[in-house]
Amino acid sequence: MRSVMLGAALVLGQVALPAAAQPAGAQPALVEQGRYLAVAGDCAGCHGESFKGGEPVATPIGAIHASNITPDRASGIGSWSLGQFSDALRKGRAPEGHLYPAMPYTAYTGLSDIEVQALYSYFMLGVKAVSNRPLANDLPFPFIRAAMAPWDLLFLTEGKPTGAATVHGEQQLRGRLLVETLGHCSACHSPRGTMMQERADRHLAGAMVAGWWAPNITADATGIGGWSDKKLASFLATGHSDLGVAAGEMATVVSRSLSKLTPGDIDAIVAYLRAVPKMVSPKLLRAATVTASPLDIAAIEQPTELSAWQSQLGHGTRQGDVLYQSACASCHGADGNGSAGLVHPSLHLIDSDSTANAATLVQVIAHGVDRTVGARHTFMPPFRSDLDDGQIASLANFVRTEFGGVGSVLTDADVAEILAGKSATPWLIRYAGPLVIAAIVIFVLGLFLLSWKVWRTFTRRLARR
Amino acid sequence: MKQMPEPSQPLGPLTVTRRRVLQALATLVPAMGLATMPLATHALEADDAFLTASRVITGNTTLSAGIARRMMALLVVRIPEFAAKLDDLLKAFRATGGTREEMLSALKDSQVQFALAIAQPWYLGHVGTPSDFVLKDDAVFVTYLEAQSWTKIVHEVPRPTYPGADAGWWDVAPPGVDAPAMPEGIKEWTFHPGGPADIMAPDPKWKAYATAPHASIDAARRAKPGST
Amino acid sequence: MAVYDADVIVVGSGSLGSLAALELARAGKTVVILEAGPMVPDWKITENFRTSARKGNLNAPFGDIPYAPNSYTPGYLDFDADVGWVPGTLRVAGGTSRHWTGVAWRLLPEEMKMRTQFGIGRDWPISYDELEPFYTAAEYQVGVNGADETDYSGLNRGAPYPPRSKPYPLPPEAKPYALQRFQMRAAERGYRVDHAPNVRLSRPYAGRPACIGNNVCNPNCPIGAKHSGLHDLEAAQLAGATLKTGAVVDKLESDAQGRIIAVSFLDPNGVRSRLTARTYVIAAHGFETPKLLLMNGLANRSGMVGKNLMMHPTLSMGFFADEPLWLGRGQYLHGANLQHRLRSDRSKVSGGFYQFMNHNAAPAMAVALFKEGNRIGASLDDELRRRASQYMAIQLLLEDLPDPSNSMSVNPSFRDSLGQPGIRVHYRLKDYAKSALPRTIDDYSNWLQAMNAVPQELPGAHWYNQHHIMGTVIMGSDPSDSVVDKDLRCYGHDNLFLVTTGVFPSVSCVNPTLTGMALAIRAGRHIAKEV
Repeated sequence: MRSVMLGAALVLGQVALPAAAQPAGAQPALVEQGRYLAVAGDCAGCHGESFKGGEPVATPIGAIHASNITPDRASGIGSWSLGQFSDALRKGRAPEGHLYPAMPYTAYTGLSDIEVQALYSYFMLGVKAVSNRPLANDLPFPFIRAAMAPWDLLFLTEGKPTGAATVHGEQQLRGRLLVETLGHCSACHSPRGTMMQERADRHLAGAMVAGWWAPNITADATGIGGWSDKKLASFLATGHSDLGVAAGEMATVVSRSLSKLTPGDIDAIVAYLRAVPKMVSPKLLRAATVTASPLDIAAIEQPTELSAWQSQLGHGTRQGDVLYQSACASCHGADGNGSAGLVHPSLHLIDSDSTANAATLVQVIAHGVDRTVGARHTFMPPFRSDLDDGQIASLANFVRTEFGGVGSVLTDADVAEILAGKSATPWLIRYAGPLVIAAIVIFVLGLFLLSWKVWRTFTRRLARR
Repeated sequence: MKQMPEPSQPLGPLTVTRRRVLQALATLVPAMGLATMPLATHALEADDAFLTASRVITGNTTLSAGIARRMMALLVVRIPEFAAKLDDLLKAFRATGGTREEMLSALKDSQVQFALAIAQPWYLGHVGTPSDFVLKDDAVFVTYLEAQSWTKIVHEVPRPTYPGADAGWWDVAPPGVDAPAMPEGIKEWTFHPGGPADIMAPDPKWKAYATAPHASIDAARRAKPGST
Repeated sequence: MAVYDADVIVVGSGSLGSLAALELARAGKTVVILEAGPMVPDWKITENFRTSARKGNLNAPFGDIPYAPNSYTPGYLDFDADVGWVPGTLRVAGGTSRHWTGVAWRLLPEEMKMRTQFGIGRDWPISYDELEPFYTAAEYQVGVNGADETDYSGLNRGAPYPPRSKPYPLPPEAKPYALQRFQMRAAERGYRVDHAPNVRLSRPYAGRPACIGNNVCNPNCPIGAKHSGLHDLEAAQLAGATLKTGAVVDKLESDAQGRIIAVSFLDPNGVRSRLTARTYVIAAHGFETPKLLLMNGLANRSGMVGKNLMMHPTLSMGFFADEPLWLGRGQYLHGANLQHRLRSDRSKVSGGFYQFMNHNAAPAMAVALFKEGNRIGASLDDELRRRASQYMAIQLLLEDLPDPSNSMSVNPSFRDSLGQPGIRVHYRLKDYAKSALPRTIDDYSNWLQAMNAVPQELPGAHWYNQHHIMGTVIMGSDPSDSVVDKDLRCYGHDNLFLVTTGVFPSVSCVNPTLTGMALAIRAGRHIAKEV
């Protein structure tokens, strides 16, 4: 439905402006290229299907509302020049001030001039102007926009996306554009440092994002090393594979962006990922082959008497095997092997990136999966309202232990924390406010002390004369 | 008619308990020539005897000890002289040996009746008679996952509440079925094969066949128009 | 200015009550839904079904609750009827539609004017055209699969009927192989197979997954692909309605003018509470709604409360085809034959439609084989597989006409743990339905021939009903013979509405729930305007 509406908007948005009214640099011939680049860059992911903005992007510092990037002159970017557009994308500087790096300009900085111009052409000529004024971003002190200047000095290298690897050949070059620049994959898949910058030394090694685990996508065995090119390409294009499915935010990335790329571009992404330096992730020890213990049928089939109605209707059990059978086996099979054809995946290949993958499993149990790729709508229902946190913990523990072959001891509190979706916030960021205030106080005190000392010295000297 | 008959099966692989029993047998009864059909003797673990008998009767060598224990506890109080009859049945199986079919066909009528009394709860998954319309009856649940009626057709028809495949998987011919040719479009609900515009009057001999009393399904099969 | 606990109190959290509550909540009204029974999630019902010793008993997985007995609680329902299959009604959150099969028909315009068109029965005081927008609203709210091109009159006139303002929200589900085979062969004797619209999603919709053929529509879909009242209840709660479970309503207080001023209810321990509202909706299905009115002496100036009980008389039949079909792949039933729905002899012979059952045949075949008792071992297994593969089962649903002698009443010889009485039903099959039997036998004979089949159950040895409960608080424009008016408002009680299939003045032969949902949505919107 939404993709149809977007398509209609795009068609409708092809306003034939008289040549004089077209912004300088915006070229009709580049609009289609710009549209494709916008899909690959997933601008709609933050700025909305119609690009009118307003959607909050959760960050540990606060919600940032993406701006209106339609060509509306009053509330959008209709009055921006090509140069201003380019600076926003590649330098993080908008006409009204610095952009926060929630806008991934540290990735988009890799765009070439012609790509910038194509995007500009698309947004000026191919997108319908919508009047919408998103909420202003009032991030708390000390994260004023001017504070981004020193941050950019430290962490932005213009023209070079963070972590971009050396490439060989056209395909890897194209892949690097799609992964590091447009795809800004490292915005989720790289961990962040003390000042919330992407850690280039752990580029694409995996990170927790709002309670979900964005996995290691380097070619190490603890990343995607065990995936064939074909499987990886298929996963990117459809969100589905027998080694894992795209859920949560990745599901929307697949639906909105990756599934709409050309097969050649998907192959290029795969080729580039193979070229990125391998990162090793911690992994729980796991049996080489997981053979689930044979179903203890008598244990999971507990009869109740007709008169024992409270037991029949009570639904607070914490027994993971019972919960699995009752809530999950109708799709994933009594033995966890999934359904024929594996549309409902086997749970035996639950991977084991330490506690990180437990987070994804908990999120999927709670929220389900909702992913539309073309005509195919994949849907797993959410269970958050049918199971309490302790039950989700028991269920996740059962699945990881019984089918994944790893130890798992999640508690209610763990589940609550995962579902609260807070990303780990570096201490520097969390205490930035008090720290800056302290720094200012110390500086002022220091100034005061210094000037008092100077005054004393001066008056003493005066006194000695 | 296309389905394959269920193959006759010898007893399956030894369980741990049966291995233990065999070792005990070997010391106690050296000369019984049991090599072809390992079976627990009644003198040892009675629940293993029931499990063994159940596996022979149902032809399913994977029946679990847990459910067998549950079922035996229910049958012991419902069938008079249960232990003696079980004993007798196992003796008969031992005496005949060989395949499931060979062992079953050598049973006396009374033994067959007892074997059926064991078979029924294995096939249906409960003992007693359930009521569909009142919450009071003498039925007691035994098993669902090991209820053999569903198990016997599970290759063609998934067990209810468990998954088949993706949405809409059921419009293809079941496994093992050689589907007759049908026109393109038969899967569409708006498709209608040609034919008379409205319902025809029934052929009198088919009407007579439909309304005649038939003593059994086999009798009805024999009486079908065109069958003899 | 009076202060109320809520704008509207809805008694009963089933599909119809919840849909009315949803409309009221959407209109900004405060709504309290009172449900006698508890909340039980779907996964627990799945577990209870699997461990049930009585899988054909639809109420069993929902428990036998001492303070909220259901129609299968021993002694609760005194069922004096010459039809088999006792209607199974539930008292849990989500109501009886937790275990419906999910068939979602519309009435035909003619069927709503039986007296005018055919000289029998009663007319609805509203027309199909007035109800049509609400049929559409219901179909989009719950998600109905349908084939837009179908002529549901069964007359094969080449154009869709009845008229629709919007297409079905979802396409039909897959047609099972078994039905394809039947369709091909039965066509040679002049039979057509059409799609039966239903709520077992063919695609994900409204936060529920598509059906994957778990084949346990009754008693409950394990994955929520089949709609149930629980989904409507959740929607109502999301829209702002408040749910109170364990609230057994037994008293409706009224003033001298007949206005209801309070409901009074008991919790499971017998502790009494009282709530007030501007308007009251009773949505407790076709038995409990009239029972509550009778216990309180309300809405019965016409004497029709509890009377005119209509169920759908049913004939069941089965045979063994000469080829493997393998029922049980897909949903509990698929498709329909509608050719007898609107015959010209409708004034004399009940209209009817056939539904093609699709239960897993293994347990029924096994029960029969053990009863026969003459097979064991491979021959038992072979015969079980042969019969299960060849079996085909068909049901015919027929129309009832309103007759005050068919009725429900209060059964004082049963008392539950709160001291509440049970229900008594008196029902006798009418000639109108019986007159359809000869035609049915002809169809059965034709099908035996078409499938070269062996008979298993000839229709007519027993009559049954479909668990559909209608007519017991009948709607009409004449207060002297009706309980509610065209807006479902009780005659004599301006602020009391009955939202239940019990209001139907005519019932056709088709499953009533979608019609009930349409009435519920219409009532909710109507009440919202005046509250």
